[in-house]
Amino acid sequence: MGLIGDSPDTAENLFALTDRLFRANSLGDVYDAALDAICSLLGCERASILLFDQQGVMNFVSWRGLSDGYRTAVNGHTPWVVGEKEAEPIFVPDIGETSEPDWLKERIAAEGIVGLAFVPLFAAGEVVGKFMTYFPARREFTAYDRDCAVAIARQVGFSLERHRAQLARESAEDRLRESEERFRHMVEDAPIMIWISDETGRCLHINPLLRDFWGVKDIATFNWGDTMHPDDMERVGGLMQKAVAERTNVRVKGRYRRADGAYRVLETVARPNFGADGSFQGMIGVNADVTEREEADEHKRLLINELNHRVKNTLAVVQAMARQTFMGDAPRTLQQDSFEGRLSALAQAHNLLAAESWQSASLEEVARKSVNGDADVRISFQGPHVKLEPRQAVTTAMALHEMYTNAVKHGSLRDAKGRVRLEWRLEQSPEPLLVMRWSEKSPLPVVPPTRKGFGTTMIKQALGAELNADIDLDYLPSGLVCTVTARLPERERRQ
Amino acid sequence: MNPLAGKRILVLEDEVLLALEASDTLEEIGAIIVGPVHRVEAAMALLDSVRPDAALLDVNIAGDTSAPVAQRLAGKNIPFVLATGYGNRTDIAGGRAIIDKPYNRRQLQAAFREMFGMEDSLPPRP
Repeated sequence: MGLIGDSPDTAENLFALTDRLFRANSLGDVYDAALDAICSLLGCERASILLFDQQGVMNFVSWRGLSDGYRTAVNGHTPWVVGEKEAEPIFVPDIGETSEPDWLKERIAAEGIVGLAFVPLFAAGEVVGKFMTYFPARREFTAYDRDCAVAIARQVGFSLERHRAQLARESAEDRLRESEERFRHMVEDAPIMIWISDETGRCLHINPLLRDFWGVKDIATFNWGDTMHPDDMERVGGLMQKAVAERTNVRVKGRYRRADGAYRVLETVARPNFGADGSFQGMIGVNADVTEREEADEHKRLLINELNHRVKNTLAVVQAMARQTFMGDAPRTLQQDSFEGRLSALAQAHNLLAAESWQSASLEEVARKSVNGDADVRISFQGPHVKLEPRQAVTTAMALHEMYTNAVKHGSLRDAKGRVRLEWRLEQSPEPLLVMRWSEKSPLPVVPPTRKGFGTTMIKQALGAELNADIDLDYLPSGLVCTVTARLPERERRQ
Repeated sequence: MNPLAGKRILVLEDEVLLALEASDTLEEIGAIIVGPVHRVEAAMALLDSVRPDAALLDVNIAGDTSAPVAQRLAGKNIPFVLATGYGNRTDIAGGRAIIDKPYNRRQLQAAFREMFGMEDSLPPRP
C-alpha cells in the first residue's frame, strides 16, 4: 500500500515539505519545514531536530514545545554515533516500559512525554543527526508512521547534504581566495623582483620591488630593454628572446639602470608560463640584485691576485737576497747567519704591515723591530710619528737591519758601551722632506769598510730609490753616520 | 757575437731590489740599462727622451699595471718582456714574452737573447 495513496493530506504535506526544502535559503528554513511536516504527518505537537556537532555531540538545533530544562537534560543523548551507516528509526510507545535509566525516564515524564520516536537523519550515507517526535500519551506507531518518518528524514537529509556541500564549496572558495590573497601578499612584499611577461616578452605584471627599481609609472608603455646597459643588451636580450622562442627556462645576469640612474647587476631566473590548456602565455621570472655579491666576488678575486703578486714578489726578493748573500767568499756559516737575519728582518716588517691590514706601518715601530733586542738598550729613537707605506716600510726595515748588523760586526755596537742614535724629523724646505739620521758612537775607533756588499746596495740603492732619497754614508772614526733625505710624496705626509 | 751587446734595455720594476738584480743580470750579458725605474710615470717620462732597444716590464707597478708603458712601447715597435707574479696575463701581453716571478738570472737572459736572436730572422710580432 503506497504511502501517498493513503491520504490526500499525506501527499499534500509531503509536496509542501519538498517544495519548502527546495526553496529553503537557510538551515533555519529547512528545520522549520521539517518540524511542520513532522507535526502534521505524524500528528504530534512536539518535535525536535538534533545534529552531531564537530565534537560528535548530538545537539538540539531546532524544536517545538520543549522546555529549556528538558533540552539541557537530554542534550547529547543518542542511540547512534557519528558516521554510522546502518541506523533504523526507533519507536517507543511508552518510555516507562523501556530499560532507560530512571533519571531519564523521570525527566521525560516530567516533560509530559510518554510515546516518542528517534528517526536518524542521513547525509552522504552517514548518520548526521536525528529528529524526534513526542506524544503526551502512549502511542502505537504504525507502518504508516514509519513510512512518513523515513520519508521526512530522507528529504531533510538531502537538504542537509546539499547545505553541507554548499558550505564545503564556500569554504574551499574561501581557502582559495585566502591562498590567492596570501600569495599576492607574498609577491607584493617579497624581497625579490617578480615579473610576468606576455608571449612577446613584454612585461604584464611586476611586483612593487621591481616597479620601484625601474621606477615604472605605466606598465603598458614600459619596455625593460630600455633600462638595460647597452653593452649587455645583445647578450641578455638574445638569451631572453631565445627562451621565449623556444619556451625554455633561462638564467642570465645583466646590468640594468635603476630609477636613480645607477646600474645594478640583476640575476634573472625565468621559466615559460603555460595556461591551463597548455598554451604558451609568456614568461614568469624573478630578478635578484646581485650587485654586492658580484662586487664581493670581484674584491675576492682582486685580493687573491694581489696576494699572489705579493707572494711572488716576496719570493723574488728572497731569491735576490739569497743570491747576493751567498755570492761572496765569506765563510758559509757567516753567510747563513746573514741570510737568516735578513729573512727575519723581512718577516718582521711583514708582521707590522699585516697588523695594519697591509696599509702602512709606523717608522718608529719598523726601526725598533729592525734592531733585534737592542732598542732602548744601546739604540735610542727620536722623531715624530711618520707612517710608511708598505713597500717603504719593508725596504726601510731591511736597510736598517743592514746598518744594525754592520754596527754589530764592524761599528759602534762591537762594544757593549757603543751607542746608536736614530733620529728623524719632517722638514719643509720648500718641498716636504723626511730627514733621518743613523749615528753611531763607538768607544773604539771604527775602520771604514773596504768593499761594498749587499748591505751597501740595500742602503744606498734600494732605500734611496724606495724613499726617493739622497743617502749620505759618512764613515767616521766614531762609526757610521748615515743621513737619509727623503722627498716623500704628498700622501705619506698627511698622516 | 752577443746580440745583446750595447742594447739599451729599459727596466721597470717597482721592487727596488729586484730592479737592481734584473739590471745587474742584463748588464752581465752586455746590455746597457735604461733606468731602472720603479714607477709607471717615471718610465713614461724617460720614454719622452730616450728610445730603448727593448724593455723589461713588471706587470704590477705599485698597484697599477704597466699597460700604458706597454702600449707606448708597442706603438714605437719596441719589443719587451713582461714579468709577472699573477700567472697568466695575456690580456696586456698581446702575444709577447711573459716570464713568471720569481724568475732566475738564466730565464731573464734567455728571454732577451731569444728576443734579439729571433728578430733577425722573423718579422716583428703583431
